[in-house]
Amino acid sequence: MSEYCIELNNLTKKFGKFTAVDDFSLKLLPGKVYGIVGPNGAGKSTTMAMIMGSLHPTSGTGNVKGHELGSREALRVLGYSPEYTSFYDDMNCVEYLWYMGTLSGLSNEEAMEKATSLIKQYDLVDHAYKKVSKFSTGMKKKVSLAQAMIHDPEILLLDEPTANLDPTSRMEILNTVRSMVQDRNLTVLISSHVLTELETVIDHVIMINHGKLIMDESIATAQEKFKQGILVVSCDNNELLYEKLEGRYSIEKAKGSIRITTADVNALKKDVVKTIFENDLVLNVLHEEVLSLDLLYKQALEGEKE
Amino acid sequence: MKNIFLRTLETTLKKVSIIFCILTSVIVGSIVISTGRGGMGVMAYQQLLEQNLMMQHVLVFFVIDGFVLMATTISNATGLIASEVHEGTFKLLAAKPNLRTQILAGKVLGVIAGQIILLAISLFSYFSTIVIVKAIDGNVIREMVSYFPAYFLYGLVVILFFTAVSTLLSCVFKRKITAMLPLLAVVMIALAFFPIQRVMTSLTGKAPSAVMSLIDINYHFSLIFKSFVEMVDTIKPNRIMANLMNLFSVQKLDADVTRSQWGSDILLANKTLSAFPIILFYGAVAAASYVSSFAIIKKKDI
Repeated sequence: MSEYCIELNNLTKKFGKFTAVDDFSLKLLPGKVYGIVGPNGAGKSTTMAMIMGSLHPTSGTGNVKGHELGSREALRVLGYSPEYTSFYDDMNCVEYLWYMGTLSGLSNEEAMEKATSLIKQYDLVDHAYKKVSKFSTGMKKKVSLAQAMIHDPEILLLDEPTANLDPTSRMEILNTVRSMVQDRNLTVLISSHVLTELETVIDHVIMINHGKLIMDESIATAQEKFKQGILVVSCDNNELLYEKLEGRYSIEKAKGSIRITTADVNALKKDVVKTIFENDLVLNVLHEEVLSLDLLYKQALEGEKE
Repeated sequence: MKNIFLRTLETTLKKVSIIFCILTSVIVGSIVISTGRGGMGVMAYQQLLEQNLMMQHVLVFFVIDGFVLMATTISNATGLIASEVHEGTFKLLAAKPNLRTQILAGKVLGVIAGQIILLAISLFSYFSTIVIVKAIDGNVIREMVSYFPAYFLYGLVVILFFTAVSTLLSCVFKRKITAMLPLLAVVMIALAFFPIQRVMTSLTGKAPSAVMSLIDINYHFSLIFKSFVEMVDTIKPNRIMANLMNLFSVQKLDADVTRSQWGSDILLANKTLSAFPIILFYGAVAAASYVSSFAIIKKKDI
């Protein structure tokens, strides 16, 4: 059996003349958290829908733990929270989760037990008997996550779990995801536009644009790959330091510091320290900037345009 | 599948549907009773019975087993998939480890069961009205109530046929309204257009065209209705059923044999088409619709 829990081979999905996903291949290892990022219309949701079997690929194949995409066996190990979750108008939170539990193969008693425990876990106790369709967006997202977890899946697909949420709700949802990952050693594929938030959760980044895969790396490898050597320096006279280094490097003023970009960061560090010593300045800060997912995303997309 | 069946059954038996069925049936019962009061005596009894049965057959065919049953079946069955796809709830149903065909089967069976209960409620309300009011002779009421199984069986045919076609359209279209409108148009054509067109034709003194019989859905369903009703007793020829259901045709009598008490014409059973091939045809359409629905749902992108 393959070491990968999800394998997609040359998946293509066309809607009429529009190609949403183009010859997309991907392999996901168990126990890792994958972030799938890309601009609107890049094909993230379409890819997830094909993994779930909601959309049928125009060409290509794939499997979930060796089972055909969309098969009962594949769906048994998958939990899915779509970007826009719709709820039945007449169902309260307990009824909805119980119903989803029974559809996931749990007995009535097991489904009720699981629904009650998830309601407690996701802090929805006060709203358990209220209609889900009347919930706030943040609470709906929580119910959506809860229904995805109702049958204890091994792999979780979360499509834009933080979309349209206020910062507090976003943090709440991400904390929930983080604790789920820690507690259960889940494999998670999570898509989002809020890249800085994903950074705190994922350990592998998948970038997609115009339906094509443009990056599939661990966060650390990706950052290394796109590293430009940015040094952030602050001393007791940033103006003087700026004057001394200007012309020799690509340099910009930031609030309380200066940012210097170079290809050889080690040579720059020596030069900065030397300049500070020679001008009798007091060094306050000197650190190498880690490439954020946002910058990485911009660079990867720019690289693709070129 | 069991819980999808129960959920669909629950949504089919909405309070508003039950109240609508009961109210309409009570109104129909009241109309039949109010138009069927008469004196007693051997002839009067026969006339009373025939008049009441004719009114009952026509109103049950057009209203209880007709508009009410067809409209509720279409409304409930066209929403089975189309509504859920449009509202986005089907995405999560399909994300759970169930075959889509199982989901559809649960839903279709739920609607059929719900509609059967609504049919039973409607007929029970109708017959309860005429029994409780007791405005007409008890023997006549007993005769009228004996048609309950016939109406029920015809209602089953209506439910199975309209559920099949509605389910197919629900699988094809992404919105309930798009699936529902063509079928409601069919119902209006069957229950209003053809009877009105026939009445207009008879006023001009012309006989209905035999070719029209082939597309006259009203006539087709009338024949099926008649075949069930005549399991209890033969329907006596009458002009209302000739005009509204095309079950009898008016034959002009030869002037030489015309007797004053007969008038100048006579009503004969309309034998342009027979019930058996019609039942086979509509059965085949229903079966093909069910098979196509299951084939479509398996491949449908959600």
